[in-house]
Amino acid sequence: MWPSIKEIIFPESLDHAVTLIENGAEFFAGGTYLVADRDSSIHTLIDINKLISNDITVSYGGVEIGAGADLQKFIDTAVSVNPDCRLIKAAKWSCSSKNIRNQRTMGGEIAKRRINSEVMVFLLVVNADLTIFTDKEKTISIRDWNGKGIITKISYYPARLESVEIQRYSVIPSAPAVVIAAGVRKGNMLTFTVGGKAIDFSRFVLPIKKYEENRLENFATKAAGNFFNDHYGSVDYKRHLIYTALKRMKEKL
Amino acid sequence: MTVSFTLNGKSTTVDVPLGRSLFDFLRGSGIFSVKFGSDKGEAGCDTVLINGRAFNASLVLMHSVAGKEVETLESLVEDGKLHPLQQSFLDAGAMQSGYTAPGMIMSIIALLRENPYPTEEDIRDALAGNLDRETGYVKPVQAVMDYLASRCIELVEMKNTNKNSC
Repeated sequence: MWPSIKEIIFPESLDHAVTLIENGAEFFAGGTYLVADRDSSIHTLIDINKLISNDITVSYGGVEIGAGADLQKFIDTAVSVNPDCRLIKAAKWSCSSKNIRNQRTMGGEIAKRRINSEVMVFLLVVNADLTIFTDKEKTISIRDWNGKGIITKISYYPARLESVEIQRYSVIPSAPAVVIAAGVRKGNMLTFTVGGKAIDFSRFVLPIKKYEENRLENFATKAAGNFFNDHYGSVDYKRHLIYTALKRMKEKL
Repeated sequence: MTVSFTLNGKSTTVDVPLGRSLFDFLRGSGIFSVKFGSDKGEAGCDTVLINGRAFNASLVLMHSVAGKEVETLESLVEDGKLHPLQQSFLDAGAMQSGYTAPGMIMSIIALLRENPYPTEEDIRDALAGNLDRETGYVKPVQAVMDYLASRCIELVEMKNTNKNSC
Protein backbone atom coordinates (compact mmCIF):
# COMPACT_ATOMS: atom_id res chain seq x y z
CA MET A 1 0.00 0.00 0.00
CA TRP A 2 1.18 3.49 -0.85
CA PRO A 3 -1.02 5.51 1.50
CA SER A 4 0.09 8.99 0.47
CA ILE A 5 -1.43 8.59 -3.02
CA LYS A 6 -4.57 10.72 -3.19
CA GLU A 7 -5.03 10.98 -6.92
CA ILE A 8 -4.14 9.08 -10.09
CA ILE A 9 -4.63 11.06 -13.28
CA PHE A 10 -4.79 9.64 -16.79
CA PRO A 11 -4.04 12.67 -19.01
CA GLU A 12 -5.39 12.64 -22.55
CA SER A 13 -2.26 14.00 -24.17
CA LEU A 14 1.37 14.85 -23.45
CA ASP A 15 0.38 18.55 -23.60
CA HIS A 16 -2.10 17.89 -20.82
CA ALA A 17 0.36 15.73 -18.85
CA VAL A 18 3.08 18.39 -18.64
CA THR A 19 0.63 20.93 -17.23
CA LEU A 20 -0.16 18.59 -14.34
CA ILE A 21 3.33 18.28 -12.92
CA GLU A 22 3.80 20.08 -9.61
CA ASN A 23 5.30 19.45 -6.19
CA GLY A 24 4.16 16.04 -4.99
CA ALA A 25 3.15 14.83 -8.44
CA GLU A 26 5.17 12.35 -10.50
CA PHE A 27 4.91 10.89 -13.97
CA PHE A 28 4.12 7.19 -13.75
CA ALA A 29 5.11 4.71 -16.47
CA GLY A 30 6.62 1.35 -15.38
CA GLY A 31 6.64 2.54 -11.79
CA THR A 32 9.17 0.07 -10.39
CA TYR A 33 11.33 2.74 -8.76
CA LEU A 34 8.37 4.82 -7.57
CA VAL A 35 6.40 1.93 -6.10
CA ALA A 36 9.49 0.43 -4.46
CA ASP A 37 10.32 3.76 -2.78
CA ARG A 38 6.72 4.67 -1.82
CA ASP A 39 7.84 8.24 -1.18
CA SER A 40 5.32 9.77 1.24
CA SER A 41 5.77 13.25 -0.27
CA ILE A 42 4.17 12.04 -3.52
CA HIS A 43 0.38 12.41 -3.55
CA THR A 44 -0.44 12.38 -7.27
CA LEU A 45 0.54 9.96 -10.02
CA ILE A 46 0.24 11.09 -13.61
CA ASP A 47 -0.09 7.84 -15.56
CA ILE A 48 1.47 8.36 -18.98
CA ASN A 49 1.57 4.71 -20.06
CA LYS A 50 -0.94 5.23 -22.87
CA LEU A 51 0.81 8.37 -24.13
CA ILE A 52 4.33 7.10 -24.77
CA SER A 53 5.28 4.57 -27.39
CA ASN A 54 6.88 1.24 -26.58
CA ASP A 55 7.92 0.58 -30.19
CA ILE A 56 11.50 -0.52 -30.78
CA THR A 57 13.47 -0.44 -34.01
CA VAL A 58 16.86 -2.11 -33.97
CA SER A 59 19.22 -2.27 -36.92
CA TYR A 60 23.00 -2.11 -37.30
CA GLY A 61 22.53 1.48 -38.44
CA GLY A 62 20.41 2.81 -35.63
CA VAL A 63 18.46 1.91 -32.52
CA GLU A 64 15.23 3.74 -31.67
CA ILE A 65 13.42 2.87 -28.49
CA GLY A 66 10.05 4.23 -27.42
CA ALA A 67 10.50 5.40 -23.84
CA GLY A 68 7.60 3.19 -22.72
CA ALA A 69 9.37 0.00 -23.86
CA ASP A 70 10.38 -2.18 -20.96
CA LEU A 71 13.93 -3.50 -20.63
CA GLN A 72 12.92 -7.09 -21.39
CA LYS A 73 11.06 -6.07 -24.54
CA PHE A 74 14.20 -4.29 -25.71
CA ILE A 75 16.33 -7.40 -25.00
CA ASP A 76 13.89 -9.71 -26.82
CA THR A 77 13.70 -7.40 -29.84
CA ALA A 78 17.40 -6.59 -30.09
CA VAL A 79 18.67 -10.13 -29.59
CA SER A 80 17.00 -11.31 -32.80
CA VAL A 81 18.73 -8.55 -34.81
CA ASN A 82 22.12 -8.32 -33.17
CA PRO A 83 22.84 -10.63 -30.23
CA ASP A 84 26.15 -8.81 -29.69
CA CYS A 85 24.44 -5.46 -29.08
CA ARG A 86 26.16 -4.16 -25.94
CA LEU A 87 22.96 -2.49 -24.74
CA ILE A 88 21.42 -5.97 -24.31
CA LYS A 89 24.23 -6.81 -21.92
CA ALA A 90 23.78 -3.48 -20.15
CA ALA A 91 20.01 -3.99 -19.79
CA LYS A 92 20.50 -7.46 -18.33
CA TRP A 93 23.18 -6.32 -15.94
CA SER A 94 21.20 -3.26 -14.95
CA CYS A 95 18.44 -5.44 -13.58
CA SER A 96 19.05 -9.14 -13.09
CA SER A 97 15.39 -9.85 -12.30
CA LYS A 98 13.43 -10.65 -15.45
CA ASN A 99 10.21 -9.88 -13.55
CA ILE A 100 11.39 -6.33 -12.95
CA ARG A 101 12.81 -6.00 -16.46
CA ASN A 102 9.27 -6.82 -17.69
CA GLN A 103 8.08 -3.68 -15.92
CA ARG A 104 10.96 -1.19 -15.84
CA THR A 105 10.84 1.15 -18.83
CA MET A 106 13.82 2.50 -20.73
CA GLY A 107 12.51 6.03 -20.19
CA GLY A 108 12.24 5.42 -16.45
CA GLU A 109 15.79 4.10 -16.33
CA ILE A 110 17.02 7.42 -17.72
CA ALA A 111 14.63 9.59 -15.72
CA LYS A 112 15.86 7.95 -12.52
CA ARG A 113 19.45 8.81 -13.53
CA ARG A 114 20.78 5.99 -11.39
CA ILE A 115 24.57 6.21 -11.37
CA ASN A 116 24.98 2.45 -10.99
CA SER A 117 22.77 1.70 -13.98
CA GLU A 118 24.65 -0.01 -16.81
CA VAL A 119 22.00 1.27 -19.23
CA MET A 120 22.69 4.87 -18.21
CA VAL A 121 26.47 4.47 -18.45
CA PHE A 122 26.09 2.89 -21.89
CA LEU A 123 23.71 5.56 -23.22
CA LEU A 124 25.97 8.30 -21.89
CA VAL A 125 29.08 6.92 -23.55
CA VAL A 126 27.37 6.51 -26.94
CA ASN A 127 25.87 9.98 -26.46
CA ALA A 128 22.31 8.81 -27.18
CA ASP A 129 19.69 11.28 -28.33
CA LEU A 130 16.62 11.81 -26.21
CA THR A 131 13.35 13.05 -27.62
CA ILE A 132 11.82 15.12 -24.86
CA PHE A 133 8.35 16.60 -24.62
CA THR A 134 8.16 19.84 -22.67
CA ASP A 135 5.69 22.11 -24.49
CA LYS A 136 6.74 20.56 -27.79
CA GLU A 137 8.95 17.68 -28.83
CA LYS A 138 12.67 18.28 -29.22
CA THR A 139 15.72 16.06 -29.53
CA ILE A 140 18.75 16.65 -27.34
CA SER A 141 21.84 14.77 -26.24
CA ILE A 142 21.35 12.64 -23.13
CA ARG A 143 24.34 14.50 -21.67
CA ASP A 144 22.44 17.80 -21.91
CA TRP A 145 19.12 16.70 -20.44
CA ASN A 146 18.22 18.60 -17.27
CA GLY A 147 15.56 16.20 -16.06
CA LYS A 148 12.62 18.33 -17.18
CA GLY A 149 9.81 17.10 -19.44
CA ILE A 150 8.76 13.63 -20.55
CA ILE A 151 11.18 11.34 -22.41
CA THR A 152 9.34 9.89 -25.42
CA LYS A 153 12.13 8.27 -27.40
CA ILE A 154 15.77 7.19 -27.04
CA SER A 155 17.96 6.74 -30.11
CA TYR A 156 21.59 6.06 -30.90
CA TYR A 157 23.48 5.11 -34.01
CA PRO A 158 25.99 2.24 -33.72
CA ALA A 159 26.97 2.74 -37.39
CA ARG A 160 28.55 6.09 -36.47
CA LEU A 161 30.77 4.41 -33.89
CA GLU A 162 33.67 2.11 -34.62
CA SER A 163 33.29 0.06 -31.46
CA VAL A 164 31.68 0.10 -28.03
CA GLU A 165 32.61 -1.82 -24.89
CA ILE A 166 31.18 -2.05 -21.40
CA GLN A 167 32.64 -3.61 -18.26
CA ARG A 168 31.31 -3.94 -14.74
CA TYR A 169 32.44 -5.25 -11.40
CA SER A 170 30.06 -6.49 -8.74
CA VAL A 171 30.26 -8.74 -5.70
CA ILE A 172 28.27 -11.46 -7.50
CA PRO A 173 26.96 -11.31 -11.08
CA SER A 174 23.34 -10.61 -10.11
CA ALA A 175 24.21 -7.86 -7.59
CA PRO A 176 24.25 -4.16 -8.51
CA ALA A 177 27.60 -3.09 -9.88
CA VAL A 178 30.22 -1.38 -7.76
CA VAL A 179 32.05 -0.04 -10.82
CA ILE A 180 30.73 0.30 -14.38
CA ALA A 181 32.86 1.61 -17.22
CA ALA A 182 31.96 1.97 -20.88
CA GLY A 183 34.10 3.11 -23.78
CA VAL A 184 33.51 4.06 -27.35
CA ARG A 185 35.82 4.59 -30.31
CA LYS A 186 34.77 7.18 -32.86
CA GLY A 187 37.30 8.28 -35.43
CA ASN A 188 40.56 8.96 -33.63
CA MET A 189 38.93 9.53 -30.29
CA LEU A 190 38.22 7.24 -27.37
CA THR A 191 35.53 8.30 -24.91
CA PHE A 192 35.02 6.62 -21.55
CA THR A 193 32.20 6.98 -19.04
CA VAL A 194 32.46 5.62 -15.52
CA GLY A 195 29.60 5.03 -13.09
CA GLY A 196 28.79 2.70 -10.23
CA LYS A 197 28.24 3.17 -6.51
CA ALA A 198 29.39 6.76 -6.81
CA ILE A 199 28.09 10.30 -6.46
CA ASP A 200 28.28 11.12 -10.17
CA PHE A 201 29.32 9.88 -13.58
CA SER A 202 32.77 10.72 -14.97
CA ARG A 203 33.64 11.15 -18.63
CA PHE A 204 37.02 11.27 -20.36
CA VAL A 205 38.02 11.83 -23.94
CA LEU A 206 41.35 10.58 -25.20
CA PRO A 207 42.80 11.13 -28.69
CA ILE A 208 44.25 7.77 -29.73
CA LYS A 209 47.46 9.40 -30.97
CA LYS A 210 48.10 10.84 -27.52
CA TYR A 211 47.57 7.54 -25.76
CA GLU A 212 49.96 6.79 -22.95
CA GLU A 213 49.30 4.33 -20.17
CA ASN A 214 49.64 6.95 -17.43
CA ARG A 215 46.74 8.92 -18.96
CA LEU A 216 44.39 6.03 -18.22
CA GLU A 217 45.80 5.94 -14.71
CA ASN A 218 45.09 9.65 -14.34
CA PHE A 219 41.52 9.12 -15.61
CA ALA A 220 41.03 6.30 -13.12
CA THR A 221 42.28 8.50 -10.27
CA LYS A 222 39.94 11.34 -11.26
CA ALA A 223 36.95 8.97 -11.65
CA ALA A 224 37.71 7.40 -8.26
CA GLY A 225 37.16 10.87 -6.78
CA ASN A 226 33.42 10.26 -7.25
CA PHE A 227 33.55 7.06 -5.20
CA PHE A 228 33.66 6.62 -1.44
CA ASN A 229 34.87 4.06 1.08
CA ASP A 230 32.16 1.55 1.93
CA HIS A 231 31.72 -2.15 2.63
CA TYR A 232 32.43 -2.92 -1.04
CA GLY A 233 35.93 -1.58 -0.66
CA SER A 234 38.13 1.46 -0.34
CA VAL A 235 38.34 4.27 -2.89
CA ASP A 236 41.79 2.99 -3.80
CA TYR A 237 40.41 -0.47 -4.51
CA LYS A 238 37.75 1.07 -6.76
CA ARG A 239 40.38 3.21 -8.51
CA HIS A 240 42.18 -0.04 -9.29
CA LEU A 241 38.96 -1.59 -10.67
CA ILE A 242 38.33 1.47 -12.84
CA TYR A 243 41.89 1.40 -14.16
CA THR A 244 41.62 -2.32 -14.96
CA ALA A 245 38.32 -1.73 -16.79
CA LEU A 246 39.72 1.19 -18.79
CA LYS A 247 42.83 -0.76 -19.75
CA ARG A 248 40.82 -3.81 -20.85
CA MET A 249 38.46 -1.65 -22.87
CA LYS A 250 41.29 0.28 -24.46
CA GLU A 251 42.69 -3.04 -25.75
CA LYS A 252 39.32 -4.10 -27.17
CA LEU A 253 38.42 -0.74 -28.67
CA MET B 1 -11.22 3.47 -7.47
CA THR B 2 -13.00 0.73 -9.35
CA VAL B 3 -10.81 -1.72 -11.24
CA SER B 4 -12.02 -4.47 -13.56
CA PHE B 5 -9.72 -7.28 -14.59
CA THR B 6 -9.56 -11.04 -14.94
CA LEU B 7 -8.23 -12.95 -11.96
CA ASN B 8 -7.41 -16.62 -12.51
CA GLY B 9 -9.88 -16.78 -15.38
CA LYS B 10 -12.73 -15.01 -13.59
CA SER B 11 -13.94 -11.50 -14.42
CA THR B 12 -13.42 -9.40 -11.32
CA THR B 13 -14.47 -5.86 -10.46
CA VAL B 14 -13.24 -4.41 -7.18
CA ASP B 15 -13.25 -1.12 -5.40
CA VAL B 16 -9.79 -0.43 -3.99
CA PRO B 17 -8.08 2.53 -2.34
CA LEU B 18 -5.69 4.51 -4.54
CA GLY B 19 -2.10 3.35 -4.13
CA ARG B 20 -3.05 -0.22 -3.24
CA SER B 21 -0.65 -2.77 -4.63
CA LEU B 22 -1.71 -5.93 -6.41
CA PHE B 23 0.13 -7.88 -3.69
CA ASP B 24 -1.99 -6.34 -0.91
CA PHE B 25 -5.15 -6.98 -2.89
CA LEU B 26 -4.32 -10.64 -3.61
CA ARG B 27 -3.33 -11.45 -0.03
CA GLY B 28 -6.45 -9.64 1.19
CA SER B 29 -8.51 -11.79 -1.17
CA GLY B 30 -7.19 -15.04 0.27
CA ILE B 31 -4.67 -15.77 -2.46
CA PHE B 32 -1.85 -16.91 -0.23
CA SER B 33 0.53 -18.35 -2.84
CA VAL B 34 1.71 -14.75 -3.25
CA LYS B 35 4.28 -14.14 -0.50
CA PHE B 36 5.82 -11.08 1.04
CA GLY B 37 9.48 -10.73 0.10
CA SER B 38 10.82 -7.30 0.92
CA ASP B 39 9.71 -3.72 1.45
CA LYS B 40 11.06 -2.93 -2.00
CA GLY B 41 9.12 -5.79 -3.61
CA GLU B 42 12.25 -7.12 -5.23
CA ALA B 43 12.45 -10.66 -3.88
CA GLY B 44 10.19 -12.32 -6.46
CA CYS B 45 8.21 -14.54 -4.09
CA ASP B 46 5.23 -12.37 -5.04
CA THR B 47 5.52 -13.35 -8.74
CA VAL B 48 2.26 -13.36 -10.67
CA LEU B 49 1.53 -13.34 -14.38
CA ILE B 50 -0.01 -10.28 -15.96
CA ASN B 51 -1.06 -10.89 -19.54
CA GLY B 52 1.22 -13.91 -19.48
CA ARG B 53 4.40 -12.13 -18.33
CA ALA B 54 5.96 -12.41 -14.87
CA PHE B 55 5.74 -9.42 -12.54
CA ASN B 56 6.37 -8.80 -8.85
CA ALA B 57 2.89 -8.07 -7.44
CA SER B 58 4.32 -5.74 -4.77
CA LEU B 59 5.60 -3.39 -7.47
CA VAL B 60 2.29 -3.26 -9.37
CA LEU B 61 -0.42 -0.82 -8.37
CA MET B 62 -4.02 -1.92 -8.80
CA HIS B 63 -4.86 0.77 -11.34
CA SER B 64 -2.24 -0.76 -13.66
CA VAL B 65 -4.05 -4.11 -13.93
CA ALA B 66 -7.30 -2.64 -15.25
CA GLY B 67 -8.43 -4.66 -18.29
CA LYS B 68 -5.62 -7.18 -17.87
CA GLU B 69 -5.42 -10.86 -17.04
CA VAL B 70 -3.80 -11.75 -13.71
CA GLU B 71 -2.81 -15.33 -12.90
CA THR B 72 -1.48 -16.74 -9.66
CA LEU B 73 -0.27 -20.21 -8.70
CA GLU B 74 -3.84 -21.09 -7.69
CA SER B 75 -4.83 -21.07 -11.36
CA LEU B 76 -2.50 -23.99 -12.11
CA VAL B 77 -4.33 -26.50 -9.93
CA GLU B 78 -7.07 -28.37 -11.80
CA ASP B 79 -9.61 -30.51 -9.91
CA GLY B 80 -7.32 -30.53 -6.90
CA LYS B 81 -4.48 -31.98 -8.99
CA LEU B 82 -1.12 -30.27 -9.00
CA HIS B 83 0.28 -28.94 -12.23
CA PRO B 84 3.05 -31.27 -13.49
CA LEU B 85 5.62 -28.53 -12.88
CA GLN B 86 4.50 -28.24 -9.24
CA GLN B 87 4.76 -32.02 -8.96
CA SER B 88 8.22 -31.88 -10.47
CA PHE B 89 9.30 -29.35 -7.80
CA LEU B 90 8.02 -31.75 -5.15
CA ASP B 91 9.65 -34.80 -6.70
CA ALA B 92 13.01 -33.06 -7.08
CA GLY B 93 12.95 -31.81 -3.49
CA ALA B 94 13.13 -28.24 -4.73
CA MET B 95 10.76 -26.90 -2.09
CA GLN B 96 12.65 -26.50 1.22
CA SER B 97 10.22 -24.34 3.23
CA GLY B 98 8.14 -23.75 0.11
CA TYR B 99 8.07 -20.00 0.66
CA THR B 100 9.71 -19.05 -2.62
CA ALA B 101 8.51 -22.02 -4.69
CA PRO B 102 5.20 -20.44 -5.90
CA GLY B 103 7.08 -17.43 -7.29
CA MET B 104 9.66 -19.64 -8.97
CA ILE B 105 6.99 -21.83 -10.53
CA MET B 106 5.13 -18.80 -11.90
CA SER B 107 8.37 -17.38 -13.34
CA ILE B 108 8.96 -20.71 -15.12
CA ILE B 109 5.36 -20.87 -16.38
CA ALA B 110 5.88 -17.42 -17.95
CA LEU B 111 9.17 -18.58 -19.49
CA LEU B 112 7.62 -21.74 -20.94
CA ARG B 113 4.84 -19.76 -22.57
CA GLU B 114 7.29 -17.59 -24.45
CA ASN B 115 9.86 -20.34 -25.01
CA PRO B 116 8.68 -23.96 -24.70
CA TYR B 117 12.23 -25.28 -25.12
CA PRO B 118 14.39 -23.19 -22.78
CA THR B 119 18.05 -23.86 -22.13
CA GLU B 120 19.47 -24.07 -18.61
CA GLU B 121 20.71 -20.50 -19.09
CA ASP B 122 17.15 -19.36 -19.95
CA ILE B 123 15.85 -21.12 -16.83
CA ARG B 124 18.46 -19.49 -14.62
CA ASP B 125 17.73 -16.09 -16.17
CA ALA B 126 14.00 -16.54 -15.51
CA LEU B 127 14.72 -17.47 -11.88
CA ALA B 128 17.26 -14.71 -11.27
CA GLY B 129 14.56 -12.44 -9.87
CA ASN B 130 13.37 -15.06 -7.38
CA LEU B 131 15.74 -14.58 -4.48
CA ASP B 132 16.22 -17.81 -2.65
CA ARG B 133 18.92 -18.91 -0.24
CA GLU B 134 17.35 -22.19 0.76
CA THR B 135 17.64 -24.17 -2.45
CA GLY B 136 20.65 -22.48 -4.04
CA TYR B 137 18.72 -22.89 -7.33
CA VAL B 138 20.27 -26.31 -7.96
CA LYS B 139 17.14 -28.33 -7.29
CA PRO B 140 14.65 -25.85 -8.78
CA VAL B 141 16.65 -25.85 -12.04
CA GLN B 142 16.77 -29.65 -11.87
CA ALA B 143 12.99 -29.73 -11.30
CA VAL B 144 12.39 -27.66 -14.42
CA MET B 145 14.78 -29.82 -16.48
CA ASP B 146 13.01 -32.97 -15.21
CA TYR B 147 9.65 -31.46 -16.12
CA LEU B 148 10.88 -30.63 -19.62
CA ALA B 149 12.30 -34.13 -20.03
CA SER B 150 9.07 -35.77 -18.90
CA ARG B 151 7.12 -33.61 -21.31
CA CYS B 152 9.39 -34.70 -24.16
CA ILE B 153 8.88 -38.37 -23.19
CA GLU B 154 5.13 -37.79 -23.15
CA LEU B 155 5.27 -36.22 -26.59
CA VAL B 156 7.28 -39.14 -27.99
CA GLU B 157 4.88 -41.65 -26.41
CA MET B 158 1.89 -39.76 -27.84
CA LYS B 159 3.50 -39.84 -31.26
CA ASN B 160 4.17 -43.59 -31.01
CA THR B 161 0.61 -44.29 -29.84
CA ASN B 162 -0.80 -42.39 -32.79
CA LYS B 163 1.50 -44.29 -35.15
CA ASN B 164 0.28 -47.64 -33.79
CA SER B 165 -3.34 -46.66 -34.10
CA CYS B 166 -2.94 -45.64 -37.74
